[in-house]
Amino acid sequence: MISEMLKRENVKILDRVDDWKQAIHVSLEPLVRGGYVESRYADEIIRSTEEMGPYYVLTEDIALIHGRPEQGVIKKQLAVTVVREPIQFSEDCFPVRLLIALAATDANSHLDVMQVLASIFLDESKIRELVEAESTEEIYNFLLTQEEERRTKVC
Amino acid sequence: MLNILTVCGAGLGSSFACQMSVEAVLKELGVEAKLDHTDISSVSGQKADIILSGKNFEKQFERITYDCPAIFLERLVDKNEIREKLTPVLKDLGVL
Repeated sequence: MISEMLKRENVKILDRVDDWKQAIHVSLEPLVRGGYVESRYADEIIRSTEEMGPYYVLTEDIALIHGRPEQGVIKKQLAVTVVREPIQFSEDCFPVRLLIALAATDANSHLDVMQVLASIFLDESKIRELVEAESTEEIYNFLLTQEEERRTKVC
Repeated sequence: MLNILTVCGAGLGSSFACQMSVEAVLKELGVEAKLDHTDISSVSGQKADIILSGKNFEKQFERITYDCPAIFLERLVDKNEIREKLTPVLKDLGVL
């Protein structure tokens, strides 16, 4: 659940970052600091990006920054960063303002979290709500509300 | 049962999100399928009737073996793009 995988203090809003590499480091910093991933996780993702392109840019404004479990994941966790000035991960990819850092220990155990995130990714108005949020509190509460709404709908 | 496989670099984030968007589209189309997600290095060994992946992986797919139609998406989570590209393939396979 998002309420278990995301800590309130791990939601950030920044004006800008220097480049896409810094974006990856910045978005993963809370996971490194909290001991959820090894410090090499960011470098591994940067290396994968150089090999395969930015495979984590899902659509306009959204990057789900993640690597494979063996690239340094210790425990599953999320962190969320909104950057006001859009980041360009490659020449031909969409500019991004919402960075969701994901540490996953296998292919499926974060299913419930992905369901909530996917319901947001499908909805432009929800994406806008997140990237235009004025405070980190607003972002955190929005994500928890989405999870709550999904749960009541399913039950 | 139709097997649909979504593919990304790590096999647990982008491909997982894509799988859920595909699921939503299939529900709207009334098509039943078994969905799964994986990373590009594991594609060859997997059973699939349709593969969906990101446009950035198109070149890498040329280097691996798979024997089913593959769809490459600009936006992995865009229901409209998925519906538009998936519908003709489903028709070809006779499930729609």
